[in-house]
Amino acid sequence: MKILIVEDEKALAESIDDYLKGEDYLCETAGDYNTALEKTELYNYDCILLDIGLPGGSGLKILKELKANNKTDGVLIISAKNSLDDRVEGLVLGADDYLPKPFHLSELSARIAAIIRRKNFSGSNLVKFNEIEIDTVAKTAVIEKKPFMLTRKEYELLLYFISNKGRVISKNAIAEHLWGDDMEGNNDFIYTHIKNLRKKMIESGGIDYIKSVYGMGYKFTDQ
Amino acid sequence: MKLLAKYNRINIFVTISILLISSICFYVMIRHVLVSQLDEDLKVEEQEVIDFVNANNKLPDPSNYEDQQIEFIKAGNITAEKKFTSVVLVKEDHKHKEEELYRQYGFSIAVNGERYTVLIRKSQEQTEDLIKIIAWITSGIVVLLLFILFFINRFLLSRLWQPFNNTLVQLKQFNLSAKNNVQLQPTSTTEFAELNKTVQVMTERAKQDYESLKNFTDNASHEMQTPLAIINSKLDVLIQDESLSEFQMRQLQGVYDALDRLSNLNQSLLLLTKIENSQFNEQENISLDGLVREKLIQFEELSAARKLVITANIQPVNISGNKKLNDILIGNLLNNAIRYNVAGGSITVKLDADELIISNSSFLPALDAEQVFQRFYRHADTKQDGNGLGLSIVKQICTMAGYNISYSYFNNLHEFKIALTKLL
Repeated sequence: MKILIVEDEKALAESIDDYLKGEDYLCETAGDYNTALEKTELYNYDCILLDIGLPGGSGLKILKELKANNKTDGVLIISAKNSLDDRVEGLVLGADDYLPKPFHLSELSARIAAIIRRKNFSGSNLVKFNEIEIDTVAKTAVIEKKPFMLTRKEYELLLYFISNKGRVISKNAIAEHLWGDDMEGNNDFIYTHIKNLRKKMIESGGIDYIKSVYGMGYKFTDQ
Repeated sequence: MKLLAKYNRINIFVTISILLISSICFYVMIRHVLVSQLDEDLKVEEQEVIDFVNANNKLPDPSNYEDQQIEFIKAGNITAEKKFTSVVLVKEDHKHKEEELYRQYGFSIAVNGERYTVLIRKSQEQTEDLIKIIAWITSGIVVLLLFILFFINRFLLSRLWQPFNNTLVQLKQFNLSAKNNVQLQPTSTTEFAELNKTVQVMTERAKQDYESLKNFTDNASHEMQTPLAIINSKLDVLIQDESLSEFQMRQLQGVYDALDRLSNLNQSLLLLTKIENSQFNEQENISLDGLVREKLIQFEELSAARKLVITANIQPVNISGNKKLNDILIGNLLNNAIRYNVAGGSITVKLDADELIISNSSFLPALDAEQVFQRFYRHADTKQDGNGLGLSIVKQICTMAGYNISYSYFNNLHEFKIALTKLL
């Protein structure tokens, strides 16, 4: 899977690169408008992370070029300008998703995975992790081919974990993913949801893959 | 006291005093002139009597007419001094007595060695009548003048002050965050033109200052986002390191939490400036009751954890407004109602066509209604978990939408009431 990170902040691009590398993504970076335009013209990417405010031009212009050239690269806009206009314009121009800065890399990774799933047509609505299978269209999960009843939040949590398998996800990132900005300071609820998810996985004949990391976060792993 | 009333009070007092004093002077002078005239006439009579005596060596006949009387009195050895006096004579008819004022002149004259005192009298009544008429006319004029002055002051002055009142109305409507400037009517009065100019300059400067402050907040918040994103991403990468100890992880958790608060604060500040800049101007038809129900479901988990009893009395209400803003509005109010509640407390939500009321029990005593919507206002007893902007955002949304929001506290309940009838 090839990812292009179009981001002029080197430090941020570096972190994204570091994080995504571990997910078997092949990452390239472009720090300005011209480099980004050149790369998008020459190569195809599964997903392009596109910052809007770039030296040399707007990321939205790159998006326009892509669409004009009938490129099918997935586009995820990452912008500091969390303005509604940018968001609407980006999505109207054909971006697949929009993630305002600052964001958690686990969130970014989950969004990229979702975009790639949607872009790949061959049975790609299935997310697998050992005996667990998630159908992202029907929003259902099975363990060992047996249905696995989950609440909405548990489903989202499971998908989020699998999208970031083998990674430590902070509780803050999980809270933001599940509840957005609406509710702050509710890390206690995460514990309840995780407890329930673990119980259900074991009851359905699966293995509890959720490892707690020193009260700081969780890691979904089979190692 | 109104300027006009103040002015009228002084003006009328001074006018009446001056008119009164001048009337008295006028009266005294006219009287003096007329009496002098009478005295002149009496002198002429004296000369006539002396001439008659010198020519005929005898006294003329005494006369007793209505307007002029001459009387001779034997005086013996006494020589009367020449002198003018005013005397009142009583004239008796068979029916009634009548007092009449006369001017009298007395002098001595010798006829054939005999001394006589001559008294010449002329009626002063006509003079008095004249003075009376003059006094009446004068007071008539005074009253008329006062009336005219009063009405001139009333109507002319209020017309003259019209530009001032216009300016005042504009200033009262002046709103820093509104787009339009004050519209002052041009005036030919120098003072008011000057006032308008100053007002114009001051309001424009205030607007500019406000604008640059707003831009500063906006820019500062925007500029903060990238560093925040970098810190966040670095932390996300850092915690993947398996060699981190529990101690180090705990330190990092502290950084995460602080970062969350900072991001949150930053988002709220951005939201505030965005609302102020009217960047949420899409209007649509919203089912407010649907929105409230949706939010109540979203917060169900949170309220259930605190065992809160929620009573909702929700009527169908459709409004035209911005969905996102209304969503934030209700979300913030409900969030507060839950966050500052006591375990097992209550929340009442009431919605009808006129108003939305959210009231809740709380561990906090009554809040300061004046300050409750101010940025970063927190009651001393609150833990530092809110960013202090939630209600400012609520207030700002209401202001932009033209709703009136008020806070009250009674029966240990905090109540926020939004009047949905638009003010503007």
